Amino acid sequence: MNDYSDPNRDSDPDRRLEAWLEGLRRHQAPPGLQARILAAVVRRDPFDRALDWLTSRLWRPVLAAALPVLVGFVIGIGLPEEPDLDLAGTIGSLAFVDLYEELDDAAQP
Amino acid sequence: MQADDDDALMERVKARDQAAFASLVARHLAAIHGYVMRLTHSHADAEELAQETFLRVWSRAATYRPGTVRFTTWLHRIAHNLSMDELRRQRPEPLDEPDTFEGGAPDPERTIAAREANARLDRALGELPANQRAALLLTEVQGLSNQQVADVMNLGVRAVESLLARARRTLRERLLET
Repeated sequence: MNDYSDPNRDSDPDRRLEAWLEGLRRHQAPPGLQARILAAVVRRDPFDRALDWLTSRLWRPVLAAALPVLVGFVIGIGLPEEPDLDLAGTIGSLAFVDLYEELDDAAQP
Repeated sequence: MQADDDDALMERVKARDQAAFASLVARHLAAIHGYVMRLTHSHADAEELAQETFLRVWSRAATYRPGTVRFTTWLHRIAHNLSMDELRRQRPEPLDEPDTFEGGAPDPERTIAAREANARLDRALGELPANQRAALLLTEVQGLSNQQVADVMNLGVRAVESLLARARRTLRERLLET
């Protein structure tokens, strides 16, 4: 049986694979990328702070929106009460207005 | 221990400490850039994705819960999801030459055969299905445990082991090709 190995074949695939993986582990990030990330964070920070303010203190915009309703409620409570309306009297008066108008129309020549 | 240090730094990042964030970036940028570059097989995308990963660490620091997940798992999950979204958006995948980004000092003893084998493995890695590629990179290069990889990829451990076995078999077969 021929025992010669193919010279193009790697003699130890596992060792070669491990060496290749070791090369991947030694990866370095491109120069300047770290600085760009930190600069982007500095730029984004005011926006984040505004967003934090809105989300962590949600009661503020809710209170701002509810304030006109509260003010209206307080003003409404402070006003003097209207005199009670006599509902039956009002309906009767309206009914008589109609009746008087019909009588007037009939009396016209 | 680095995990404890990461957690301590993240507590400061939650309080908007930019120096702590800079330390985290310095510590993990190379690993994350390497991972997204090998996964997307694109130099241009890798820079964008690595940057976006760390910007999300900054903006979503409040959602990080130490004790429930390790920082490296959380960080890789962000990078992985961003990369997979990018891969889904652009098909077919771009095939840049990854050799030019290989870090570290040049090895004078590298033979031509070794260089050819590395080029073959680089190509084979790029041709692996994205899930196999991710599982292989996360375990063998990023140093994550199978459980961590399962958490990152949102899979079961058995599924990760299966992906790894297929990826290793493919690479080994490619090495043995003449």
